[in-house]
Amino acid sequence: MVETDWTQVSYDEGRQTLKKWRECGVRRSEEVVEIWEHVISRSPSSLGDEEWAVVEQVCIASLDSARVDLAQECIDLLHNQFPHSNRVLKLKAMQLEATEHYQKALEIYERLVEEDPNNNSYRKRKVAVLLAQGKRLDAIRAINDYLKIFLNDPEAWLQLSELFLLENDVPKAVHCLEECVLIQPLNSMYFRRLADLRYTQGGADNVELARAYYERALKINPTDLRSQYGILLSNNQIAASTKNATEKKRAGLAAVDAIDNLVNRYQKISPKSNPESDGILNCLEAMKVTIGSK
Amino acid sequence: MASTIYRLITIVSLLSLIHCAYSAAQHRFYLRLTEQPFVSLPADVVAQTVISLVALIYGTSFLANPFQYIKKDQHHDRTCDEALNCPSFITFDNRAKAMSPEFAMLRTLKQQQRLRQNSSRSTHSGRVSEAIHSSESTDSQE
Repeated sequence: MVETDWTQVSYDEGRQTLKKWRECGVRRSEEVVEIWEHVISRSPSSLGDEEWAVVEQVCIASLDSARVDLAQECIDLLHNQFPHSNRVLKLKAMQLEATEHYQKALEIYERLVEEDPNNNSYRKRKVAVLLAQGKRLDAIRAINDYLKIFLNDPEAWLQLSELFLLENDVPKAVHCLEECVLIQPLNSMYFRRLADLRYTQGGADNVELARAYYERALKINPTDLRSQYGILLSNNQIAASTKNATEKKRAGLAAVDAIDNLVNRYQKISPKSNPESDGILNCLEAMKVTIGSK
Repeated sequence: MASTIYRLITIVSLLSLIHCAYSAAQHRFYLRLTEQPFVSLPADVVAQTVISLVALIYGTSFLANPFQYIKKDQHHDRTCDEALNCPSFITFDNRAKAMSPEFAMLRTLKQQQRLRQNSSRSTHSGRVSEAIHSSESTDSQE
C-alpha cells in the first residue's frame, strides 16, 4: 500500500477525506491537522456549510496531537461565529482536559449537563475525564450510571467492554458486547469481537459459541477475512477436543472448507500488493494436509 | 451450463413479448379495417404476454449478479479502527504530548513550581503563604 502524503493532496480530495473520517469516526488526528494546515486552511470559507464542522473536527484532532496553538485558533474561530454555543464551551473544556486541568474541565461539564440534561455527549466527556486521570474503576462506575439513562448507546457499551477487558474481566466484557449486538445486529465487527472474546475464554461451550458468532459475522459480511480464520481455528479446536465422532468429522470438514476459502482469497490478491501472501498460502496448504490427515 | 439455459429463457421470452406487442397492434389494425369496436384483446395474446413476462423476470433474475443475503452489513469495508473506536470518549494522553515542545515547557514550569514549593515549606516562611502554595499545587496536580 502506498502511503499518501497528506500535505500534497488537492483541496477537493482533502475535503472529501476529512468528511469521510468525520463520518466514520476514525482517529487520524495527525493527518487531519496536516490536511488542515497545508490544504484546507488556504480558504476555509469555500467549504460552505461544512466549514464549522471541519473546524470542530480539526480542533479535536489538534488537541489529540498536542497542538494547543492550533486548537486555540479553532476555538477562537468558532467562538466568534457562535458566541453562546454550548458545543464550543465543550471544546474549551476539552482543551482544559488536554492541558491537564481536569477539575476545571469537570466543572464546565457539570454545568453543561445541568443546562442540557438530554445531551449525552457532556456526560460522556465526564467519563473521559476520569479515564484520562487513570481512574478506571471510577470510569466503569460512571459509564454504568450513564448507561442506566442512555441504554441504547453502542459506543458506551463498547467502551465499557474495553474497560472490563483492561481489568481482565472477560465475562463482563462479553456481556457488554452482547448488548452492542442487540443494538446493532447487522454490524459484523461486534460479532467478530464477541467471537474473539468467547474464543479467548476457552472451554468447549465457549469455542462452539465463538464458531457460531464467527459464522454469523461471515454471513453478514462475506469479505471478513478474520472471521474466516476464526471459523478455521474454532473448528480445529472442536475437532481436537470433542469426543463425539460425527461431530469431530464435521468440524474437521468445516475447517478444511475454511482453509479452501482462505486459499481462494489469497490466490486472488497479487504478491505485489501483499508480499506475504505466498508464505501464507504455503502455510495454509500445509495446515490443510495436517487437518485432512486426522 | 446453467447460465446458458437462463440466457435462452430470457431471449425467447423477450422475443415472445415483442411478438405479443406486434400481435396486439395487428389486432387493433384488423378491428379498424373491419370497423368493429374494441372491447378487449383476444385471450391467447393476453396469456402469451403474461407467460412471457413471468419467464423474462425469472430468466433475468438469474442472469444478474448472484443473490445476496438480505440482512447484510452496510459498512462491510470498515476497519477495526473505525468500528471499534469510541470518538466521544477520546482522551488526550498520548505520545504526541511527550513529543510536543509546548508540553515540555509546561512540565518544566510545573517542576519548578514544585521545587519552589518544597523550598518554601522547608524555610517555614509562614502559614498563609504555605496555604496558598498548597492550594495551587492541588490545582496543578488535578
